[in-house]
Amino acid sequence: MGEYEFPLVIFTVFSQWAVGIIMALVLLEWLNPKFMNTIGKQILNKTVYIALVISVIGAVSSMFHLNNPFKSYSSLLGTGHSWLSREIIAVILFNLCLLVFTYIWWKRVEQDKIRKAVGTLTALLGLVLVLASATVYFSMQLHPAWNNWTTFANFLLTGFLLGALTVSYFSLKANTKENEGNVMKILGMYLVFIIAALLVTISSSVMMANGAVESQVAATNSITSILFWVRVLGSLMVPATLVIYMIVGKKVVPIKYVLAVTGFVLIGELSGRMIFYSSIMSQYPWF
Amino acid sequence: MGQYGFVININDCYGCKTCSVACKSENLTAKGITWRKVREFRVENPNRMDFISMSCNHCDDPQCMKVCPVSAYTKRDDGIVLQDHEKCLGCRSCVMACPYSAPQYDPVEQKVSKCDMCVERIDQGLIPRCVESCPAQIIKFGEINELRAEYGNDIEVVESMYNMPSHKISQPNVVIIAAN
Repeated sequence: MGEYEFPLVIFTVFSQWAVGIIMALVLLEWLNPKFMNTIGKQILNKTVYIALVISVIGAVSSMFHLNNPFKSYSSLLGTGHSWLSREIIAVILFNLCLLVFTYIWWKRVEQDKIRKAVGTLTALLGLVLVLASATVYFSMQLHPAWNNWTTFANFLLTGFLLGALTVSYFSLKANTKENEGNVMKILGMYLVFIIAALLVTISSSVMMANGAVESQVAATNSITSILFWVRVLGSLMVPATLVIYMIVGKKVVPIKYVLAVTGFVLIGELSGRMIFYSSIMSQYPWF
Repeated sequence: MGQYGFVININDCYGCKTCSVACKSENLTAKGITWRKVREFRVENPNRMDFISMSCNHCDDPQCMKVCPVSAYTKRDDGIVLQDHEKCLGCRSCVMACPYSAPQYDPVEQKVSKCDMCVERIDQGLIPRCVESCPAQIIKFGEINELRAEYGNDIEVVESMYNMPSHKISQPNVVIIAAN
């Protein structure tokens, strides 16, 4: 069971979820400022609070990967050479900025320009965090199954998908007229892009053997695991039905449906991340 | 002094594992932790067993050192890659990164450890315990370039025979004499 690396599964999925929420919010800030400066800033504050909570949960979870969480500060000593150290710095910077962003949404939400600027900075730091997390694994040349573009894609798309669904839920929950218009179309198209990209990524992950035995074993371990199919169902098929409803359907999407889909995707992404680690770690020792 | 390294002679090794036991006895490693392991390979044609005794290869580009977030690993002038065990946080990045599975995680202590080439013995002018204990002198020790000049350096042949990780990842300082 240790090969699933549960603390790292929680840390990576939750931190990417938090980043995804901020990215979805900032997407709306830039693509539909009229909505965000009027209704959006009144109804979407809970998404920021949720982002902060899950980001903290993720960060705390990562410490359980260590033998002494109180000495975790020493993991900053390797920034000159270790992507793990750099990831931790990115976590700290993102969370500090997210804290400021949360304060702005709590007490200064009327200040549109500041809210947008800090949001954009937080989103960029979040992007850096996700890329640093992915590079920790991408940089290990020993593992071709990690040393390719799908590691970056998987990590980014986890965040984008969960974040888009979270923001969609709270946008719909407010039940305003705007929901039937531009905002849902933006979020709907965003979800289409994410799901399509995730389909390509998951397919490539299992087809990409790179000629290496370890990759072939990792691919086999993946597709023969129930967790892989939980991910396909939860993170691809179920949200695909939602986007069809959002874009093609003429009725307003039921709010509980979005909540259920978010739950399915969370289970799917946790399962997918477990597979990410176990498909390699189950093959230890490497030689 | 240049880079130290080992020679492993698969041709003559019969898998007694004295090296492995001697290493454990010398370094008092924990239960389940074996710094020097003897890998066994069944060969079909001709029908035989091949044995590769390997610990840490004290690589030129140590992946353990590269990934460690607490900078627990250092490389001495004589090439020995050492771990400061007190610093280890048990993140296991080095376990993930090392091509030769040299760093090993002890779930009881929740730390990683690996072969230190018996550095204390070397500093006293002695040789590593595994080298000293090998009854057939399968394992040799010395300056790696001298060893390569004397025994050859067909590591790519050995890699393909035994599905070993590519030496290009970390540039291990080991000479492996393949079986005939």
